[in-house]
Amino acid sequence: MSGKQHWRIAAATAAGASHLRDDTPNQDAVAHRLVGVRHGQVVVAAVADGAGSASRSDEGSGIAVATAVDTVVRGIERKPAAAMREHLATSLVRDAVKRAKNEVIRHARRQSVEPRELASTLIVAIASDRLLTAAQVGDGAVVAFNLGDGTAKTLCAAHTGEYANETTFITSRTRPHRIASVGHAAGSDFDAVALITDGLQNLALQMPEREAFMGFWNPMLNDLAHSEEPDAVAGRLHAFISGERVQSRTSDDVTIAIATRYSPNSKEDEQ
Amino acid sequence: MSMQDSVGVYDTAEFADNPEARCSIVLILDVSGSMGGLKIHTVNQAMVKFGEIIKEDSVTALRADVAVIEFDHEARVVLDFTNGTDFEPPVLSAKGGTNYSNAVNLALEIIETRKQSYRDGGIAYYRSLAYFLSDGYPEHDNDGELARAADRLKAAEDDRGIAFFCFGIGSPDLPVDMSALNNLAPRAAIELTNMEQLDGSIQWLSRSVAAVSQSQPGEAIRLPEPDYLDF
Repeated sequence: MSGKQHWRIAAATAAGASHLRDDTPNQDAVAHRLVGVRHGQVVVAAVADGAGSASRSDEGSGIAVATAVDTVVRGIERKPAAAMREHLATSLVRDAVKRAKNEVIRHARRQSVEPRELASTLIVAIASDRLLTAAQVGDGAVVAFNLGDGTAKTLCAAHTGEYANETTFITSRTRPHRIASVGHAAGSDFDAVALITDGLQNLALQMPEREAFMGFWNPMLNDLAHSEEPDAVAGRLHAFISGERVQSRTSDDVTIAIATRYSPNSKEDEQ
Repeated sequence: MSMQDSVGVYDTAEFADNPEARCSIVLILDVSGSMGGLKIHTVNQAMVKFGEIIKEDSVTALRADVAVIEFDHEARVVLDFTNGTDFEPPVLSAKGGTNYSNAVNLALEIIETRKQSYRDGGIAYYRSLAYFLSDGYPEHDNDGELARAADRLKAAEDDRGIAFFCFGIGSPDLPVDMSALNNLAPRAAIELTNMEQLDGSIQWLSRSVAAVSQSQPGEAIRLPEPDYLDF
Protein backbone atom coordinates (compact mmCIF):
# COMPACT_ATOMS: atom_id res chain seq x y z
CA MET A 1 0.00 0.00 0.00
CA SER A 2 1.31 3.42 -0.84
CA GLY A 3 -0.11 6.78 0.10
CA LYS A 4 -2.04 7.73 3.17
CA GLN A 5 -4.42 5.25 4.67
CA HIS A 6 -7.51 6.38 6.53
CA TRP A 7 -10.16 4.55 8.55
CA ARG A 8 -13.89 4.70 8.95
CA ILE A 9 -15.34 3.46 12.21
CA ALA A 10 -18.89 2.81 13.33
CA ALA A 11 -20.13 1.33 16.60
CA ALA A 12 -23.34 0.58 18.45
CA THR A 13 -24.46 -0.92 21.73
CA ALA A 14 -27.90 -2.04 22.87
CA ALA A 15 -29.46 -3.65 25.93
CA GLY A 16 -30.33 -7.32 25.58
CA ALA A 17 -33.78 -8.82 25.97
CA SER A 18 -33.20 -10.03 29.53
CA HIS A 19 -32.07 -6.59 30.66
CA LEU A 20 -34.97 -4.85 28.93
CA ARG A 21 -37.32 -7.25 30.71
CA ASP A 22 -35.75 -6.65 34.15
CA ASP A 23 -35.43 -2.94 33.47
CA THR A 24 -31.69 -3.07 34.15
CA PRO A 25 -29.37 -0.82 32.12
CA ASN A 26 -27.22 -1.87 29.20
CA GLN A 27 -24.02 -3.00 30.94
CA ASP A 28 -21.94 -3.08 27.76
CA ALA A 29 -19.86 -0.12 26.66
CA VAL A 30 -17.93 0.93 23.57
CA ALA A 31 -15.45 3.74 22.80
CA HIS A 32 -13.36 4.58 19.77
CA ARG A 33 -11.10 7.30 18.38
CA LEU A 34 -9.24 8.05 15.16
CA VAL A 35 -5.70 9.34 15.69
CA GLY A 36 -3.94 11.30 12.95
CA VAL A 37 -0.36 10.25 12.35
CA ARG A 38 2.15 11.35 9.75
CA HIS A 39 1.30 8.57 7.31
CA GLY A 40 -2.48 8.64 7.78
CA GLN A 41 -4.70 7.47 10.60
CA VAL A 42 -4.76 4.89 13.36
CA VAL A 43 -7.99 3.56 14.77
CA VAL A 44 -8.34 2.76 18.48
CA ALA A 45 -11.41 0.96 19.78
CA ALA A 46 -12.56 -0.84 22.91
CA VAL A 47 -15.62 -2.80 24.00
CA ALA A 48 -16.51 -4.10 27.46
CA ASP A 49 -19.21 -6.29 28.93
CA GLY A 50 -20.19 -5.45 32.51
CA ALA A 51 -20.94 -8.46 34.70
CA GLY A 52 -24.62 -9.20 35.07
CA SER A 53 -24.32 -9.77 38.81
CA ALA A 54 -22.41 -6.57 39.49
CA SER A 55 -24.74 -3.79 40.59
CA ARG A 56 -22.80 -0.99 38.85
CA SER A 57 -21.06 -2.84 36.07
CA ASP A 58 -22.42 -0.33 33.52
CA GLU A 59 -20.11 2.20 35.21
CA GLY A 60 -17.27 -0.34 35.24
CA SER A 61 -17.51 -1.12 31.54
CA GLY A 62 -17.83 2.59 30.67
CA ILE A 63 -14.73 3.54 32.65
CA ALA A 64 -12.82 0.55 31.24
CA VAL A 65 -13.37 1.43 27.57
CA ALA A 66 -12.79 5.17 28.07
CA THR A 67 -9.55 4.59 30.00
CA ALA A 68 -8.28 1.95 27.58
CA VAL A 69 -8.88 4.16 24.53
CA ASP A 70 -7.34 7.22 26.23
CA THR A 71 -4.28 5.24 27.21
CA VAL A 72 -3.71 3.91 23.71
CA VAL A 73 -4.36 7.27 22.03
CA ARG A 74 -1.89 9.03 24.33
CA GLY A 75 0.64 6.27 23.74
CA ILE A 76 0.39 6.63 19.96
CA GLU A 77 0.53 10.43 20.12
CA ARG A 78 3.69 10.11 22.16
CA LYS A 79 5.22 7.37 20.04
CA PRO A 80 3.50 6.62 16.69
CA ALA A 81 5.65 3.49 16.25
CA ALA A 82 3.46 1.89 18.95
CA ALA A 83 0.85 1.39 16.21
CA MET A 84 3.40 -0.17 13.84
CA ARG A 85 5.56 -2.60 15.76
CA GLU A 86 4.32 -5.69 17.50
CA HIS A 87 6.34 -5.42 20.70
CA LEU A 88 5.46 -1.76 21.21
CA ALA A 89 1.79 -2.36 20.41
CA THR A 90 1.73 -5.32 22.82
CA SER A 91 3.09 -3.18 25.65
CA LEU A 92 0.61 -0.43 24.87
CA VAL A 93 -2.52 -2.61 24.86
CA ARG A 94 -1.40 -4.40 28.03
CA ASP A 95 -0.82 -1.02 29.65
CA ALA A 96 -4.34 -0.01 28.55
CA VAL A 97 -5.80 -3.06 30.33
CA LYS A 98 -3.81 -2.29 33.48
CA ARG A 99 -4.84 1.35 33.56
CA ALA A 100 -8.46 0.45 32.83
CA LYS A 101 -8.51 -1.90 35.82
CA ASN A 102 -6.78 0.66 38.07
CA GLU A 103 -9.24 3.38 37.06
CA VAL A 104 -12.23 1.10 37.72
CA ILE A 105 -10.84 0.31 41.18
CA ARG A 106 -10.21 4.00 41.92
CA HIS A 107 -13.78 4.76 40.93
CA ALA A 108 -15.06 1.95 43.18
CA ARG A 109 -13.08 3.37 46.13
CA ARG A 110 -14.40 6.88 45.52
CA GLN A 111 -17.92 5.51 45.45
CA SER A 112 -17.26 3.24 48.46
CA VAL A 113 -18.33 0.09 46.61
CA GLU A 114 -16.52 -3.20 46.15
CA PRO A 115 -14.54 -3.35 42.87
CA ARG A 116 -16.43 -6.52 41.94
CA GLU A 117 -19.60 -4.42 41.71
CA LEU A 118 -17.96 -2.81 38.67
CA ALA A 119 -16.72 -6.07 37.14
CA SER A 120 -16.28 -5.96 33.39
CA THR A 121 -14.52 -7.68 30.53
CA LEU A 122 -12.37 -5.60 28.14
CA ILE A 123 -11.17 -5.80 24.55
CA VAL A 124 -8.96 -3.00 23.20
CA ALA A 125 -7.63 -2.82 19.63
CA ILE A 126 -5.22 -0.67 17.59
CA ALA A 127 -5.25 -0.74 13.79
CA SER A 128 -2.88 1.07 11.46
CA ASP A 129 -1.90 0.44 7.85
CA ARG A 130 0.95 -1.76 9.11
CA LEU A 131 -0.45 -3.66 12.06
CA LEU A 132 -3.60 -4.71 13.89
CA THR A 133 -3.14 -5.51 17.59
CA ALA A 134 -5.65 -6.33 20.30
CA ALA A 135 -5.78 -7.40 23.94
CA GLN A 136 -8.68 -9.29 25.45
CA VAL A 137 -9.71 -10.12 29.03
CA GLY A 138 -12.88 -12.20 29.27
CA ASP A 139 -15.25 -13.17 26.50
CA GLY A 140 -16.33 -11.48 23.27
CA ALA A 141 -14.11 -11.34 20.18
CA VAL A 142 -11.91 -9.17 17.99
CA VAL A 143 -11.61 -10.12 14.33
CA ALA A 144 -9.40 -8.82 11.50
CA PHE A 145 -10.75 -8.98 7.93
CA ASN A 146 -9.41 -8.77 4.42
CA LEU A 147 -12.21 -7.03 2.53
CA GLY A 148 -10.77 -8.06 -0.81
CA ASP A 149 -10.65 -11.83 -0.42
CA GLY A 150 -13.06 -12.26 2.49
CA THR A 151 -10.56 -13.92 4.81
CA ALA A 152 -10.68 -13.27 8.52
CA LYS A 153 -8.62 -13.92 11.61
CA THR A 154 -9.78 -13.97 15.23
CA LEU A 155 -7.00 -12.15 17.04
CA CYS A 156 -7.32 -13.16 20.69
CA ALA A 157 -8.35 -16.11 22.83
CA ALA A 158 -11.39 -15.76 25.08
CA HIS A 159 -11.43 -16.57 28.78
CA THR A 160 -14.30 -18.91 29.53
CA GLY A 161 -15.02 -21.27 32.40
CA GLU A 162 -16.67 -24.68 32.44
CA TYR A 163 -20.10 -23.07 32.50
CA ALA A 164 -21.66 -20.81 29.92
CA ASN A 165 -22.13 -18.02 32.44
CA GLU A 166 -18.52 -17.87 33.60
CA THR A 167 -15.74 -15.62 32.40
CA THR A 168 -12.84 -13.48 33.61
CA PHE A 169 -13.08 -9.79 34.45
CA ILE A 170 -10.40 -7.11 34.63
CA THR A 171 -11.33 -6.58 38.29
CA SER A 172 -11.20 -10.27 39.21
CA ARG A 173 -7.45 -10.56 38.61
CA THR A 174 -4.60 -8.85 40.38
CA ARG A 175 -2.75 -8.40 37.09
CA PRO A 176 -5.30 -8.62 34.27
CA HIS A 177 -2.74 -7.22 31.81
CA ARG A 178 -0.59 -10.31 32.38
CA ILE A 179 -3.36 -12.79 31.59
CA ALA A 180 -4.81 -10.73 28.73
CA SER A 181 -4.72 -12.56 25.40
CA VAL A 182 -2.84 -10.41 22.88
CA GLY A 183 -2.96 -11.06 19.13
CA HIS A 184 -1.70 -9.41 15.95
CA ALA A 185 -2.39 -9.36 12.24
CA ALA A 186 -0.32 -7.76 9.49
CA GLY A 187 -1.74 -4.57 8.00
CA SER A 188 -0.70 -5.81 4.56
CA ASP A 189 -3.08 -8.78 4.94
CA PHE A 190 -6.02 -7.19 6.72
CA ASP A 191 -7.84 -3.90 6.16
CA ALA A 192 -10.79 -4.11 8.56
CA VAL A 193 -11.30 -4.96 12.20
CA ALA A 194 -14.33 -5.64 14.40
CA LEU A 195 -14.91 -5.95 18.12
CA ILE A 196 -17.97 -7.60 19.66
CA THR A 197 -19.14 -8.46 23.14
CA ASP A 198 -20.35 -11.88 24.19
CA GLY A 199 -23.98 -11.19 23.19
CA LEU A 200 -23.13 -11.36 19.47
CA GLN A 201 -20.59 -14.14 19.72
CA ASN A 202 -22.92 -17.01 18.82
CA LEU A 203 -24.32 -15.13 15.81
CA ALA A 204 -21.07 -13.77 14.38
CA LEU A 205 -18.61 -16.59 15.06
CA GLN A 206 -18.62 -20.27 14.26
CA MET A 207 -18.17 -22.01 17.60
CA PRO A 208 -16.27 -23.60 19.19
CA GLU A 209 -13.45 -22.61 16.77
CA ARG A 210 -14.41 -18.90 17.12
CA GLU A 211 -13.88 -18.29 13.41
CA ALA A 212 -15.70 -15.36 11.81
CA PHE A 213 -18.97 -16.36 10.15
CA MET A 214 -18.76 -14.14 7.08
CA GLY A 215 -22.49 -14.24 6.31
CA PHE A 216 -22.94 -12.14 9.40
CA TRP A 217 -20.16 -9.64 8.71
CA ASN A 218 -20.34 -9.00 4.97
CA PRO A 219 -23.38 -6.67 4.83
CA MET A 220 -22.12 -4.28 7.51
CA LEU A 221 -18.46 -4.33 6.40
CA ASN A 222 -19.53 -3.58 2.82
CA ASP A 223 -21.82 -0.83 4.04
CA LEU A 224 -19.05 0.89 6.03
CA ALA A 225 -16.39 0.36 3.35
CA HIS A 226 -18.56 2.22 0.83
CA SER A 227 -20.08 4.85 3.08
CA GLU A 228 -19.11 8.50 3.30
CA GLU A 229 -21.04 8.76 6.56
CA PRO A 230 -19.84 6.41 9.30
CA ASP A 231 -22.37 7.97 11.70
CA ALA A 232 -25.19 6.76 9.47
CA VAL A 233 -23.65 3.30 9.47
CA ALA A 234 -23.54 3.45 13.28
CA GLY A 235 -27.27 4.19 13.23
CA ARG A 236 -27.89 1.19 11.01
CA LEU A 237 -25.75 -1.00 13.27
CA HIS A 238 -27.83 0.12 16.22
CA ALA A 239 -31.07 -0.62 14.39
CA PHE A 240 -29.72 -4.04 13.48
CA ILE A 241 -28.51 -5.11 16.94
CA SER A 242 -31.59 -3.75 18.73
CA GLY A 243 -33.93 -5.21 16.11
CA GLU A 244 -36.03 -8.34 16.33
CA ARG A 245 -33.71 -10.59 14.32
CA VAL A 246 -30.78 -10.19 16.71
CA GLN A 247 -32.78 -9.73 19.92
CA SER A 248 -34.75 -12.95 19.44
CA ARG A 249 -31.49 -14.89 19.26
CA THR A 250 -29.62 -13.54 22.26
CA SER A 251 -30.64 -12.42 25.73
CA ASP A 252 -27.41 -10.59 26.55
CA ASP A 253 -26.46 -6.97 25.88
CA VAL A 254 -24.99 -6.56 22.41
CA THR A 255 -22.13 -4.32 21.25
CA ILE A 256 -20.27 -4.03 17.98
CA ALA A 257 -17.54 -1.76 16.62
CA ILE A 258 -16.31 -2.08 13.03
CA ALA A 259 -13.55 -0.18 11.24
CA THR A 260 -12.53 -0.31 7.58
CA ARG A 261 -9.42 1.17 5.96
CA TYR A 262 -9.36 3.12 2.70
CA SER A 263 -7.10 5.34 0.63
CA PRO A 264 -8.62 8.84 0.65
CA ASN A 265 -6.92 9.72 -2.65
CA SER A 266 -8.02 6.73 -4.69
CA LYS A 267 -11.78 6.85 -5.19
CA GLU A 268 -12.01 4.25 -7.93
CA ASP A 269 -13.04 1.41 -5.67
CA GLU A 270 -15.67 3.50 -3.91
CA GLN A 271 -19.38 3.42 -4.85
CA MET B 1 -33.79 -0.67 0.49
CA SER B 2 -33.81 2.81 1.94
CA MET B 3 -30.84 3.23 4.22
CA GLN B 4 -32.94 5.45 6.51
CA ASP B 5 -35.28 2.61 7.39
CA SER B 6 -34.67 0.95 10.71
CA VAL B 7 -36.66 -2.03 9.51
CA GLY B 8 -34.82 -4.47 7.29
CA VAL B 9 -31.36 -3.08 8.01
CA TYR B 10 -28.73 -5.71 7.15
CA ASP B 11 -31.55 -8.15 6.53
CA THR B 12 -29.16 -10.10 4.31
CA ALA B 13 -26.95 -10.75 7.34
CA GLU B 14 -26.99 -14.42 8.20
CA PHE B 15 -26.36 -15.91 11.60
CA ALA B 16 -23.91 -18.64 12.48
CA ASP B 17 -25.73 -21.86 13.26
CA ASN B 18 -24.30 -22.53 16.70
CA PRO B 19 -26.05 -24.75 19.22
CA GLU B 20 -27.62 -22.90 22.14
CA ALA B 21 -25.92 -23.27 25.50
CA ARG B 22 -27.81 -25.85 27.52
CA CYS B 23 -29.18 -26.05 31.04
CA SER B 24 -29.96 -29.61 32.12
CA ILE B 25 -32.80 -30.07 34.60
CA VAL B 26 -33.75 -33.29 36.32
CA LEU B 27 -37.00 -33.78 38.19
CA ILE B 28 -36.59 -36.66 40.63
CA LEU B 29 -40.05 -37.61 41.81
CA ASP B 30 -41.25 -40.00 44.48
CA VAL B 31 -43.90 -42.39 43.11
CA SER B 32 -44.09 -44.66 46.15
CA GLY B 33 -47.55 -45.94 47.07
CA SER B 34 -48.15 -43.17 49.59
CA MET B 35 -47.86 -40.55 46.80
CA GLY B 36 -51.07 -41.97 45.25
CA GLY B 37 -54.18 -39.87 44.76
CA LEU B 38 -54.02 -36.10 45.12
CA LYS B 39 -50.23 -35.82 45.44
CA ILE B 40 -49.32 -37.65 42.23
CA HIS B 41 -52.20 -35.92 40.44
CA THR B 42 -50.82 -32.53 41.55
CA VAL B 43 -47.31 -33.49 40.40
CA ASN B 44 -48.64 -34.53 36.97
CA GLN B 45 -50.64 -31.31 36.59
CA ALA B 46 -47.67 -29.21 37.75
CA MET B 47 -45.41 -30.83 35.15
CA VAL B 48 -47.85 -29.73 32.43
CA LYS B 49 -47.58 -26.13 33.68
CA PHE B 50 -43.80 -26.55 34.00
CA GLY B 51 -43.65 -27.35 30.28
CA GLU B 52 -45.89 -24.41 29.39
CA ILE B 53 -43.78 -21.93 31.38
CA ILE B 54 -40.54 -23.27 29.84
CA LYS B 55 -41.99 -22.85 26.35
CA GLU B 56 -43.24 -19.29 27.01
CA ASP B 57 -39.76 -17.92 26.32
CA SER B 58 -38.06 -19.08 23.14
CA VAL B 59 -34.51 -18.79 24.50
CA THR B 60 -35.36 -20.69 27.71
CA ALA B 61 -37.12 -23.42 25.71
CA LEU B 62 -34.09 -23.88 23.46
CA ARG B 63 -31.63 -23.95 26.35
CA ALA B 64 -33.58 -26.20 28.72
CA ASP B 65 -32.86 -29.93 28.61
CA VAL B 66 -35.33 -31.73 30.85
CA ALA B 67 -35.24 -35.28 32.21
CA VAL B 68 -37.63 -36.95 34.65
CA ILE B 69 -36.69 -39.75 37.06
CA GLU B 70 -39.33 -41.54 39.10
CA PHE B 71 -38.43 -43.57 42.14
CA ASP B 72 -40.01 -45.94 44.58
CA HIS B 73 -37.73 -48.65 45.98
CA GLU B 74 -36.09 -48.50 42.54
CA ALA B 75 -35.30 -45.54 40.28
CA ARG B 76 -36.15 -45.23 36.57
CA VAL B 77 -35.61 -42.59 33.87
CA VAL B 78 -39.15 -42.00 32.59
CA LEU B 79 -38.11 -39.14 30.32
CA ASP B 80 -34.53 -38.87 29.10
CA PHE B 81 -33.11 -35.39 28.38
CA THR B 82 -35.44 -33.58 26.02
CA ASN B 83 -35.16 -30.04 24.72
CA GLY B 84 -37.67 -27.65 26.29
CA THR B 85 -39.31 -27.04 22.91
CA ASP B 86 -40.20 -30.76 22.68
CA PHE B 87 -40.98 -31.42 26.34
CA GLU B 88 -44.06 -33.62 26.81
CA PRO B 89 -44.78 -34.16 30.51
CA PRO B 90 -44.95 -37.82 31.50
CA VAL B 91 -47.93 -39.07 33.50
CA LEU B 92 -46.76 -40.79 36.68
CA SER B 93 -48.62 -43.28 38.83
CA ALA B 94 -47.78 -44.34 42.38
CA LYS B 95 -46.72 -47.74 43.64
CA GLY B 96 -44.03 -49.42 45.77
CA GLY B 97 -41.68 -48.44 48.58
CA THR B 98 -39.08 -45.66 48.90
CA ASN B 99 -35.35 -45.53 48.31
CA TYR B 100 -33.49 -42.20 47.89
CA SER B 101 -29.93 -43.25 47.17
CA ASN B 102 -30.81 -45.13 43.96
CA ALA B 103 -32.61 -42.04 42.67
CA VAL B 104 -29.79 -39.66 43.58
CA ASN B 105 -27.14 -41.90 42.04
CA LEU B 106 -29.15 -42.27 38.83
CA ALA B 107 -29.70 -38.50 38.61
CA LEU B 108 -26.00 -37.71 39.08
CA GLU B 109 -25.11 -40.36 36.52
CA ILE B 110 -27.42 -39.06 33.77
CA ILE B 111 -26.37 -35.45 34.45
CA GLU B 112 -22.68 -36.35 34.11
CA THR B 113 -23.36 -38.32 30.93
CA ARG B 114 -25.29 -35.37 29.52
CA LYS B 115 -22.48 -32.93 30.32
CA GLN B 116 -20.01 -35.20 28.61
CA SER B 117 -22.18 -35.20 25.49
CA TYR B 118 -22.26 -31.37 25.61
CA ARG B 119 -18.47 -31.30 25.84
CA ASP B 120 -18.14 -33.82 23.01
CA GLY B 121 -20.44 -31.70 20.86
CA GLY B 122 -18.72 -28.40 21.68
CA ILE B 123 -21.90 -27.14 23.33
CA ALA B 124 -21.61 -24.63 26.17
CA TYR B 125 -23.67 -25.39 29.26
CA TYR B 126 -24.90 -23.99 32.51
CA ARG B 127 -24.99 -25.50 35.95
CA SER B 128 -27.58 -28.28 36.21
CA LEU B 129 -30.73 -27.97 38.26
CA ALA B 130 -32.29 -30.86 40.16
CA TYR B 131 -35.66 -31.00 41.91
CA PHE B 132 -36.08 -33.88 44.33
CA LEU B 133 -39.53 -34.56 45.79
CA SER B 134 -40.56 -37.16 48.36
CA ASP B 135 -43.43 -37.68 50.77
CA GLY B 136 -41.77 -39.96 53.20
CA TYR B 137 -39.04 -41.88 54.80
CA PRO B 138 -36.80 -44.05 52.56
CA GLU B 139 -37.29 -47.34 54.37
CA HIS B 140 -35.46 -49.18 51.56
CA ASP B 141 -32.23 -47.23 52.07
CA ASN B 142 -29.56 -48.22 54.51
CA ASP B 143 -27.72 -45.46 56.35
CA GLY B 144 -24.44 -46.09 54.56
CA GLU B 145 -25.92 -45.76 51.06
CA LEU B 146 -27.83 -42.66 52.05
CA ALA B 147 -24.73 -41.07 53.56
CA ARG B 148 -22.70 -41.82 50.43
CA ALA B 149 -25.43 -40.32 48.22
CA ALA B 150 -25.45 -37.23 50.46
CA ASP B 151 -21.65 -36.96 50.13
CA ARG B 152 -21.84 -37.20 46.35
CA LEU B 153 -24.50 -34.49 46.26
CA LYS B 154 -22.46 -32.22 48.51
CA ALA B 155 -19.42 -32.71 46.31
CA ALA B 156 -21.45 -31.92 43.19
CA GLU B 157 -22.86 -28.77 44.81
CA ASP B 158 -19.46 -27.64 46.11
CA ASP B 159 -18.05 -28.16 42.63
CA ARG B 160 -20.93 -25.98 41.37
CA GLY B 161 -21.87 -28.76 38.96
CA ILE B 162 -25.42 -28.90 40.17
CA ALA B 163 -27.96 -26.98 42.23
CA PHE B 164 -29.93 -29.68 44.02
CA PHE B 165 -33.22 -28.76 45.70
CA CYS B 166 -34.97 -31.19 48.05
CA PHE B 167 -38.65 -30.96 48.89
CA GLY B 168 -40.77 -32.99 51.30
CA ILE B 169 -44.53 -33.05 50.79
CA GLY B 170 -46.88 -33.74 53.70
CA SER B 171 -50.05 -32.26 55.13
CA PRO B 172 -50.89 -30.33 58.29
CA ASP B 173 -52.45 -33.51 59.75
CA LEU B 174 -49.69 -35.83 58.61
CA PRO B 175 -46.38 -33.95 58.39
CA VAL B 176 -43.68 -35.50 56.26
CA ASP B 177 -40.71 -37.06 58.05
CA MET B 178 -37.99 -34.68 56.90
CA SER B 179 -35.11 -36.36 58.73
CA ALA B 180 -33.71 -38.39 55.83
CA LEU B 181 -34.25 -35.51 53.40
CA ASN B 182 -32.41 -33.16 55.75
CA ASN B 183 -29.50 -35.57 55.86
CA LEU B 184 -29.48 -35.94 52.09
CA ALA B 185 -29.95 -32.32 51.04
CA PRO B 186 -26.82 -30.30 50.18
CA ARG B 187 -28.88 -27.16 50.80
CA ALA B 188 -31.75 -26.80 53.29
CA ALA B 189 -34.60 -29.17 52.42
CA ILE B 190 -37.97 -27.48 52.13
CA GLU B 191 -41.13 -28.80 53.73
CA LEU B 192 -44.32 -28.40 51.73
CA THR B 193 -47.60 -28.85 53.57
CA ASN B 194 -50.31 -28.60 50.92
CA MET B 195 -51.00 -29.16 47.22
CA GLU B 196 -50.79 -25.45 46.34
CA GLN B 197 -47.26 -25.36 47.70
CA LEU B 198 -46.38 -28.51 45.77
CA ASP B 199 -47.77 -27.07 42.54
CA GLY B 200 -46.06 -23.74 43.26
CA SER B 201 -42.68 -25.35 43.90
CA ILE B 202 -42.65 -26.96 40.45
CA GLN B 203 -43.65 -23.67 38.84
CA TRP B 204 -40.83 -22.05 40.82
CA LEU B 205 -38.49 -24.60 39.24
CA SER B 206 -39.58 -23.61 35.74
CA ARG B 207 -38.91 -19.95 36.53
CA SER B 208 -35.52 -20.97 37.95
CA VAL B 209 -34.71 -22.65 34.64
CA ALA B 210 -35.42 -19.33 32.93
CA ALA B 211 -33.16 -17.51 35.42
CA VAL B 212 -30.25 -19.91 34.94
CA SER B 213 -30.51 -20.27 31.19
CA GLN B 214 -30.58 -16.50 30.66
CA SER B 215 -27.81 -15.74 33.13
CA GLN B 216 -24.90 -13.79 31.72
CA PRO B 217 -21.21 -14.35 32.28
CA GLY B 218 -20.16 -13.61 35.83
CA GLU B 219 -23.70 -13.33 37.02
CA ALA B 220 -24.51 -14.80 40.41
CA ILE B 221 -27.72 -16.57 39.49
CA ARG B 222 -30.68 -14.99 41.22
CA LEU B 223 -33.29 -17.68 41.62
CA PRO B 224 -36.86 -16.52 41.99
CA GLU B 225 -38.26 -15.99 45.51
CA PRO B 226 -39.82 -19.19 46.96
CA ASP B 227 -43.27 -17.57 46.92
CA TYR B 228 -44.98 -20.98 46.85
CA LEU B 229 -44.52 -21.19 50.64
CA ASP B 230 -47.04 -18.35 51.01
CA PHE B 231 -49.91 -20.69 50.14
